[in-house]
Amino acid sequence: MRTETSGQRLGLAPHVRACASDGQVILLDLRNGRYVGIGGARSGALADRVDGWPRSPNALREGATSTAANQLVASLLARGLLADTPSQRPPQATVEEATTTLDAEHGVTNAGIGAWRLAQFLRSAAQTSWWMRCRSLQAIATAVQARRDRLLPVSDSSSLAAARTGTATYARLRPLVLTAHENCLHDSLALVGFLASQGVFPRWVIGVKTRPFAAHSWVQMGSIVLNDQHETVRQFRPILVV
Amino acid sequence: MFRYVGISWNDSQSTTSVRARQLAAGLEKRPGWNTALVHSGLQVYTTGTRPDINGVYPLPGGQGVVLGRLFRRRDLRSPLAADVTLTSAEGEQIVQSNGRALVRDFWGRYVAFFGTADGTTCVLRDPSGTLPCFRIRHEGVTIVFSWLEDVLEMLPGVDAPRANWDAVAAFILLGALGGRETALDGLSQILAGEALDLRNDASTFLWSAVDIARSPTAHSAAEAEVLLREVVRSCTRSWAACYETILFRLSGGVDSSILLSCLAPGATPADVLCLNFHSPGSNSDEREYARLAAGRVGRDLIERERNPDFRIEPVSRAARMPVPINYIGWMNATIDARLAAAHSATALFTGAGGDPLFFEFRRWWPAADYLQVKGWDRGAAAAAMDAARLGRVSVWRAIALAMAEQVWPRVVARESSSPSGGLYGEALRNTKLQQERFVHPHLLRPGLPVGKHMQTASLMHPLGYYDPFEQALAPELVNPLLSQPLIELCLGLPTYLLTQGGHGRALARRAFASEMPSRIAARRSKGGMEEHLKDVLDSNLEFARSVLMDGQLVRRGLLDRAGVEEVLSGRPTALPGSLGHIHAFIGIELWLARWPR
Repeated sequence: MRTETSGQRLGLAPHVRACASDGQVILLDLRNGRYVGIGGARSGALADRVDGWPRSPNALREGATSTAANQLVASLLARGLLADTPSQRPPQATVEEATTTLDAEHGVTNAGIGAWRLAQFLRSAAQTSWWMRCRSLQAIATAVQARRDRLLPVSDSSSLAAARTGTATYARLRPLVLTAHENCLHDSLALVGFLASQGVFPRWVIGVKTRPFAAHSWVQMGSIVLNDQHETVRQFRPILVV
Repeated sequence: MFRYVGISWNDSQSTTSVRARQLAAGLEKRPGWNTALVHSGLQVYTTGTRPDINGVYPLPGGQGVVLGRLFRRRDLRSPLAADVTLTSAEGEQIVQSNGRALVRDFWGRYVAFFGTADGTTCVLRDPSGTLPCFRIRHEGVTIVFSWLEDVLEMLPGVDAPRANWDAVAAFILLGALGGRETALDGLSQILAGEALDLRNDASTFLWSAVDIARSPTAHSAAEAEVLLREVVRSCTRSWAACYETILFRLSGGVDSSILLSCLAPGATPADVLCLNFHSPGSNSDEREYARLAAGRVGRDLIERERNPDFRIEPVSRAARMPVPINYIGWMNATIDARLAAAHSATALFTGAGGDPLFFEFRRWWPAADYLQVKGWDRGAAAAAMDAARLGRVSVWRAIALAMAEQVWPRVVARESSSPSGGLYGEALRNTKLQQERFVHPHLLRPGLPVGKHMQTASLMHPLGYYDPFEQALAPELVNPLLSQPLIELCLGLPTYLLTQGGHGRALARRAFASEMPSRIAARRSKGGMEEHLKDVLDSNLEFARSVLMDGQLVRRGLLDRAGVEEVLSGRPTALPGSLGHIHAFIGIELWLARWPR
């Protein structure tokens, strides 16, 4: 078991994302897609020791003994969720507060579906299925980010119009192939892939909520949610934004 | 607060007659109670009648009485301001038909008592089931009533009923009791549309939601739109004509906005004051939509914040009811009552019932309904695609599920699992639900396609009429969308017509598209109050723990103590268990504490 001196600064492992929600801290291990929740005083105790540890206004700072905190740290180190040296993590992408729903199917009358769009949709759906089966969340996130970095984004003003048209097209095609009900991750990745083929690069978001715990994925451009209702996604705190 | 008590007994039995007359005499002495009917072996009393709102409609020759509010079917298109006066011919027809003419020619909110040709007496509860109708037997006398506290007061020396534990378990599993049994031993209910012979205990359904749902109408989409708009307007304006001032709960959602569009100044003589509740949270502040709706119609809007300091403990002193109270629905009752009093509003209108009525179920079910009703015809592909969009599944999955439903019905029952199942104790998990006791008997018959079955089942649970907290101070609750003519229309419209285009409430949205702000007509999101429920639970956490952790539900194994402890601990947990269910369990526990063990 790894040990650490009480004064040593630690960091979140590069494959870990974290967010605070309702007095708890949720960790997402991108290697295996698992979530760990740390609540109350234990979470507060780690805020002073771990770089990048989310601070929650509701978290208790007292109450966790030094022994309990050390045990927690040791456990998280053993599971590979913490690194014993704060890593040079690249800045994490953020997303604006979701305040609007795109509702792409309304008001779009020119969402034509040519053979090329259909082909891109099928390609994106197939690629997503393969990714979900064969890749970790970490690898998927890396691939999505790399695709975005590789292709030149269109300008902001046409992005929203292109996003609306692309999302409307996607929504019309989705029933041919995909089930989105209780399949939000697959749906969001397929949409992101399809929109990338149209030159549109929104954010892919995974969020969590607690009491009871739930995770959800959606696609967002600025403050506009593309494939869900903004009132729904606002219940979730973003933990991964790509 | 309008209430009634009917006392029925066998006149040929002297001991029973003596007891019945004692009970009747006791009621006659109580201030505010009036005799509505004196008939051989039957006497009926009411309190809280108000002209044009809740009254007494005598049947000719003292043969019976209808209590509540009636509207004539033939006046539906032209709602009258004045109350109905039953003619002798109408009254005679009601008696001769054993109540069938009442259900056929009238609608409203009523319970009827009448003598039959066989010399017995019957009680009939109207198809909407708005007025509660319960029954208890005491020393050979049958007491039919709407408000349990009245009967408990009538029988002061008698032990209060005990909890019906089978029913309590069923209540937790089903969310509501749809059969005749209530959650109290010895206390049953007469179901909506049911006529019960009080002497022979024989029941006849004069109206059946399931029978109506079984016969889909052949309206085109255009015809259905026009009809829906007309009937919604007519029912809403009929109810509005009963009141001078109405408090209108305007959430900002589609249903309440549709209703409000029917109540513009000039469309009803009633003054309508809108009320919107909001609280901080992801989807609990819909003021923006409420303002749009009120502004469009030209009605004033009051905005109030939900009370974050709601105390749960006073729920233990609410009026005693035959089933546990879910206090979540009544957390704003005090504000409603105060505002109603301040503005002299005698009624509170809500858009309750719209979800099932207009079919807001985001599921693939209409594909199965189409297949069962029409088979694989030219419209099947479009219907399957619509259902796929509605349920957010692939069209192939929708078709596969629809076909499976033909071969192995009730896939819904196999699919669903309660979100609070993680908190169930072993006794509840092992409970074999006796459907014949706790589910409406008509829903046990096969034959309805799955979408229509789910819609019908949702519409067969009458909502609470009385406010158990504010009681007589509360404005009268009116849910116009749950009016008999409207329920009949929407049960007869196929689900694939109600959702044509692949959206919930599609037909209703189109029917009222020009009457509502476009943002509301197109709105897909629903308001909620999850964060508010969380805040209320947090501010009552110690009380919640004290009630649940060692309460009767845990001790009887219906709830799992460890699971409850985990959910209430504030620690991270993956246990499913919505806050709404936690509050419901607390409500059940507080209700159980009112009855002898």
